[in-house]
This record gives sequence, structure tokens and C-alpha cells, in this order.
Amino acid sequence: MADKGGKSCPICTEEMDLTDQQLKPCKCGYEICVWCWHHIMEMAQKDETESRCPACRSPYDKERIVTMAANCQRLVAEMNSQHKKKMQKLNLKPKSVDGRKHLSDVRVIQRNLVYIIGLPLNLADEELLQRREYFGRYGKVMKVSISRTANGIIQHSANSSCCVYITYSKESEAVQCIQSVHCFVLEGRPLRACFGTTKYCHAWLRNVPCSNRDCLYLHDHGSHEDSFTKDELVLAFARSRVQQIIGATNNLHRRSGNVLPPPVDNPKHMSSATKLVSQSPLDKCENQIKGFASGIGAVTSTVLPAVTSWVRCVSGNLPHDTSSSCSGNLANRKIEASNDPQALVSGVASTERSINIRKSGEAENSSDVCSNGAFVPSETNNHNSGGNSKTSFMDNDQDTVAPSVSTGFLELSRQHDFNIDTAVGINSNGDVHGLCSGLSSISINIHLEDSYLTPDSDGLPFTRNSIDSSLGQHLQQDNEYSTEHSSTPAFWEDIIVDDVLNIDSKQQKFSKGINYSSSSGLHSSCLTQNVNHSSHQPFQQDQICHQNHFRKPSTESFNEHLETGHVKYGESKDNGAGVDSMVASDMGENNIISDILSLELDAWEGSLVNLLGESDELYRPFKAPILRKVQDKNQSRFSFARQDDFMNGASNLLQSFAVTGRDPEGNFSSGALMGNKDTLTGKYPHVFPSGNSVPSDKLVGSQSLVPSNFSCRHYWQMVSIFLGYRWLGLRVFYVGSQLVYAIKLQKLTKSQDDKR
Amino acid sequence: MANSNLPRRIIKETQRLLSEPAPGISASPSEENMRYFNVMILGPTQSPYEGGVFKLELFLPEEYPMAAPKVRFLTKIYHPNIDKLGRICLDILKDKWSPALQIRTVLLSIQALLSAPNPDDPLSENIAKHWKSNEAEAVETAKEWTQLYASGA
Repeated sequence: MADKGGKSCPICTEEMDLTDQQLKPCKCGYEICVWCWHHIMEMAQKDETESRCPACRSPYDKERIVTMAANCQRLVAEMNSQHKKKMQKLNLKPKSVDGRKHLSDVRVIQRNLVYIIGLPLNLADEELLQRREYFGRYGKVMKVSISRTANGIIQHSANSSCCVYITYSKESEAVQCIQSVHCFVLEGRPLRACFGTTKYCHAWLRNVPCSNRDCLYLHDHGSHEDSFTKDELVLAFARSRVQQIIGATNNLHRRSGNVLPPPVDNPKHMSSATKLVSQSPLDKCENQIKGFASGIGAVTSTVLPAVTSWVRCVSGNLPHDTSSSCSGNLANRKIEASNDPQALVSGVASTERSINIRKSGEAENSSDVCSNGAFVPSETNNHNSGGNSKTSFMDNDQDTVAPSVSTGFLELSRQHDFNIDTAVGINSNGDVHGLCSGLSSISINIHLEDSYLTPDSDGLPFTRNSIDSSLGQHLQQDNEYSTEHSSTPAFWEDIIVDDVLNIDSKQQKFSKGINYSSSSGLHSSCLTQNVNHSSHQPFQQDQICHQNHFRKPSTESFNEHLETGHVKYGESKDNGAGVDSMVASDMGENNIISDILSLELDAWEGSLVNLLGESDELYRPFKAPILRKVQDKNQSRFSFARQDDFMNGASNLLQSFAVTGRDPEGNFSSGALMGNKDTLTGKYPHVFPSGNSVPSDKLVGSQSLVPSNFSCRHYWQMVSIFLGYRWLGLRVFYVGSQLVYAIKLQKLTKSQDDKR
Repeated sequence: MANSNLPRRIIKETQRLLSEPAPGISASPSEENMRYFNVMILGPTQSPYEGGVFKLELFLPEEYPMAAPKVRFLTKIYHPNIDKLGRICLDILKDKWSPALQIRTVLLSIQALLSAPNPDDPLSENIAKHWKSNEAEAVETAKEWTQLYASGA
């Protein structure tokens, strides 16, 4: 059974028998032997831990396992029955190479092979048994084989008897031998004969041609009826054992002798059986008695020459024992002859048994062809061949067992390898995950770099903005500086500034001759005031710059200066206090102005009369522009620069007011209105000088770009803005002057004539 | 062979280890004691121990396979789960041992441990801290130790 299963415990690698195989301690199907299981339980108890399955590490359920063990025997029986069914199925399978391997445990009954048990050891000789006196009398003996051990010694049982295999040439001969010898008592020991069994040739099982020509193993499939497994053979032997007991009892009373019975009895015995079948019951009894009597006579007649021949053969070796046993047998026969009823009963039983044997075999009438078989030298070879076959069979068994064991190991190792590979795979995945996390960290770093770059990219415009803002702040500071500078003028200058703004608004709205004169006047007053202002504060850089602007057109500015001196001279006559302060600072100018005034007094009076004639038209729009300008004072940062210019003009206007106060024809109710008109009157005769000053201003602007001596760039930017504003204003004045010129052509012509 | 009373399992395992060695692992029994094995494990690829040859000793106690074999590193190695005496912190060598495991599976597990160190369950506290705080530097140190102690040993 163990060889069939081929299982081994995965823990101790020992073979697992049927009991071990029935032990299923865990639900995961991991099977171990009882010893290993017991050891695991013992170790668990020693360590005071829970016993676990080696494969799945789940705890063992001891009660369940014990319950299963109790049902072990029943399961074994079921296993046996299942195994029988399997073998039957195997027998029914078609012929195939793979199918042959299953036949290694099959035994086939051979109809020409007789197996005899109980022969005395003194007859254990193949050559002797083949003779006509012994088994040769039943037919032609092909081979006689005595059971031997591996060492070649004849096997013998406790009562010193041996077993013999006798191979006949025909089945009928074997049948005769069995009928004659079975249950025959020879030398006090009963003989048992039956058909022998043979197994398949190992070479044939492996689909290999058999190299041994004298091999007597099977090389073809046997019939299903004669095929049995080892277990079935055991059962058959059990049945035959029962029959043998009954037969032996009968034979003790019926047949016995010192030599094997002759085959002559067989034909008569068979004919007697035939007669019995055909006749009536009463006749059967009579015939049996007659047959029996004739049988006894035949035996007696045959025994005498047989005994003689046997004594002759053995007398030299054991004369005493032989004669004693012979006399004993003869005495037994006499007793049997005297008991007729017992002989009758045994005769009936013998007849029935012979009929049964005849049915089991194919009876054929065979001639008594006998020949003395010479000793076949190949018997030894056959025996060796058989031994080799057995050895090869054992090798096959080992081979079959070893692969299964290694297979089990492979499976275990594969499982573990798979687990480890899985673990390694998981680790690999972990590594990949680590790599992914590394990549993500790299991406995070990249993101951080991006985020780091973002402040930089933001920082750059921030820096630029800061630079721009700082530049702006610097410019604002410059503007504030100019604002502080512009806050110096006095109260009167503020009032005059309002008037100047009013005039500026008038220029934009009305394009008339008065605008022309007022604009030219404003321009000249601005220039004059700049010159005066530079005289007051000569050491400041701003003033120095302005002075540089106005130095080159010195002739024109000198002329304007003379005109301004004239105005101041008139003022000094009317207002003593103010004039005294002005005279103290401008003594030289007064002298020059007085000279000019004496020369051109008549021209001034003529122009004043013309202007006064138009005074009514200009009176109404004066008030509204004043209010607008007041609101527009703080328009932008450039308003301070404009205020500066307007203040310069304001001082000039104040002087003009003083001059008009002296004129007797100009008596007006409002002082402010009078001031405005006087201003216009004062501006009118300066048409040509103001016209000349426009290109001079342009030249001043262009020249101011050339002398860039200052290292401070911010100051230069501020100066550029200031000059740009002045340039824009000058353009406006120029356009206005052109328009006025087109309208007032005649007046201009007249004024030119007056000057000439 | 020398020890006639050696269990059949050890004999079979030894034969199989010699006939079918695992890749990167070689184990040969000692001549004096069939329970003592000299093991050499190659450093796994794509690990800081690549290119290194690490010598170990393995002993099968009397209770084997019911008790775990005893394994120890003879070559110095910078690993959070292996201390400077060469002792290995591996669960299947301790409480997670199972009789179904074999010498082969134990050595494969150790090789896998080299590929995937576990600083969360350390045997060398300092190395584990180093591994956690600055893994790249720790890996470099492991490479240095591999070149220093496990090269062609």
C-alpha cells in the first residue's frame, strides 16, 4: 500500500503509510505524518503556545483531528473497496503504453502451470521431479521450478516441505495433474495443487522488447477472468483454503501412499462420473460401489510396482525409514478398505469435486504422451532473469518513489519560492514606489524651484517698480523743492496770479486783438520777472540755470529791461513807500528808463486812447474765468511751475497798475478792472519785442540741451520736463499771435508805422 | 554521511541545495558537521549591496525542522536589520518559524531582506536612524561598506 501511494511527509520526508495519509489535520489540505503532527503538538505544549499548521499557520483543532482518527479504520476499508473498483476499471481500459504500467500488480492464472505445496524435501530436485515416475506421468513437463530464497536455498515450511511450480505443454495435462495430486496424502503430508499465477514481464510493461528468449513471464494481455490483484488473490486463497480442509479430511480416508498416484485413475474416474450422470439415483449408488471397488483394485495393483521401484531408488539412502513408512501407509489402506460406508461417502464427495474441477477447465482427451525432460540449463538463467526483473522492479519502485518525493519538495519549494517571489515582487513594487516617491520628490523640488523662480520673476518687476517708484519719489521731491521755492512770493503776487490765470483763460476762449496783446504782455512780463528773480537769488543752481537760459539773447532782454524800468519810474512817482524800496535796489535802471520815457511819451498816449475805446466789450466775461482758475489751482504737480511763471508776471502787472494810476483819462470805479485794462494797455506797444522773443526762447531751449554739465541724471530729467512745458506754452502763444495778426492786420500796420 | 543518525530531511535538503542551488546563493555543509553550513550570498542587484559577496554561517539545531535554523553574517554589513555581530532580525527565524520552511527558503528570505531593508523594526538603532533621516547617505555608506568588506572576500 505504501508503495502505491508514494506520498511522503513534507516535514520529515519519510514515507506516509495509510494511517498517515488518512490524517488531515488542517483545512488548507496540508498533510503531514502522525509523528510530525505529534511532535508539533508536543513542542507547542512545551513552549506553552498554540500549535499551528506549518503551511497556513492557522491553529490546529485537536478534537477534530482526534475524531477523524477514530474513523480511520472505516476509511481504510472504504479505501480498499475503492481501490478494487479502480483496478477493475484499469483492467477494462484499452491497451496502451500508459495502461501497461498499472498492470504491475496484476496476476494472471496460467492454465498450463501447476503450483504444488507440501512436497517432501527429499524430492526437491528438478531433474527428479520431471521423470515419468513422478510429475512426468501426467504429461510433458516443460519446466520444474522449486521456490528458492534470494541466496538460492530451497524455501521450506515448518514441516519440512517445499513448493514447486510445474509447467506443462498443454492445459489438459495440468488439469490431470491437479486432479490426481490435489488432496493426495504423500508420506503422511497432504499435497495441495492448483493453477499457478504469473505476472507480466517488466520489459513488456515498459514497452521494451524482452531480450530473454526463455522468459516465461507474460508478454500479452491476459483474459479478464483470469486477472486478479494481489488483494483478490488473498481472498481467493482464503476460499481455496476452506476447500482444502474438506478435501484433506476425505483424502485421509481415501488415498494415501509413498509415491504420487498414477494418471490411469483419471480416465476411469471420469468415465464413472459420466455414467453416474446418465443413470438413475439407485443405479448411481450401485455403480459408485462398483467403481470404488475397481478403483481400490487399480490402486493396489499400481502400488506394488511403484513401491518396488521407489524402494529400489531410495534403498541405498534411507532403507529403514522407507520401509517403516511404507508399512504404515499399507496399514492405513487396509483400514480404509474395511470401512465400506465411509468409503462410499468419500467416493461421492470425490466424484463431485472431480466434476467441479472438470467444469472449471476445458476437458480434452489427450493421449498419454510423456517424455523424460532433460534438465534445462536455462532454468538458472530464468531464475536469474526473474531476480533481475524483481531487482529492476525494485529500482522502478525507488525511481517512482523518489520523483514523487522530489516533486513534493519542488512543490513546497515552488510554493515558498512563489511566496518569496511575491514578497520580492512586493519589495520590488516598494522599490518602484520609492522610485516613484523619489520622482515625486524631484517633481516637488522642481515645483519648489518654480516657486522659487516665481518670486524672482515677481521680484524683477518689483525691483523695477521699486526703481521706478524711487525715481518717482525723487522726482516728487524735486517737485516739492520747486513747490517750496514757488511758495516764496507775497500776497499781492497771489492776487495778480489770479488775474494772470484769468487772462490765460481768456486767451483760450477769445481770439481777438486784446488776446494778442495780453499774451505778448504775459510773455514779456514772464521774461522780465525771470531776470529780476535771478538778480535776487544768484547763487541757487535753479536760478543759475535760468540765467544761463536767458544770457545769450541779451540785447532783446535788455530792451525789455528798459521798458520795465520805464514802468517802474512811473510807479515811483505815485507810491512813495513802494517805489523807495524798488529804487533802492534798481538805481541804474531808473536812469535809463527816464531817458527812454522822455523820448517816446507821445506814442504811449495815442495807443492808450485806442484801447480805452474797446473797454466795454471786455468788461463782462472777467468774473466767471476768475472763479474757474481759483478751482484749478491745484490741478497737477505742474501747476506749481505755472504758478512760478505767473508770479513772475504778477510782479510785472503790479508795476503796470502803478503806471496806469498816473494817467488822468483812465478813471474807473473798480481798481481791479482798472489794473486789468492797464495791463492790456501796457502790453500793446510791446508787440514786436514780444514777437522777437519767441524765436529767442526756442533758441534758449535748444541751447539748454547742449550744456549738460550736471552729473545728476534725475535733475536733468526734471529740467527736461520743465522746459517741455514752457515750449508747449510758447507754441500756444505763437499760434494765437498768428490768428490775431490775420484779423488785426491794419492795426499792426499802423503800430509799425508809429514806431518807425 | 559522516553522521549516520542525521534526519532524512536534512540529507534530502543538503542534496538538493548542492544539486539545484538558488541563484546568487551557495550553501555547502561542513565536512566535520553535516548540520553546519557555509553560505555565500551575492548582493542583490539594484541594491546598495550589489557586487558584494557576503559570508554567513548556518546551523541546524537538534529540533530542526521543528525549530528554526541559526544564521549569522560573518561579513560586516551596513544594514538596519543586521547588527555588528552579524545577527539577523528576521521574523521567520524567530517567532514566525514554520516546519514547512527550509534552508533554501530561509536564505532566499535573507537575500530579500538585503534588497528591502526595514528601518522600522531595526536591530541597529544608529543605522536605522541614519537610514530614516538621510536614506541617500545611508545607502552610500552601505555601498562603501560593501566595497570595503564584501569585495572578493
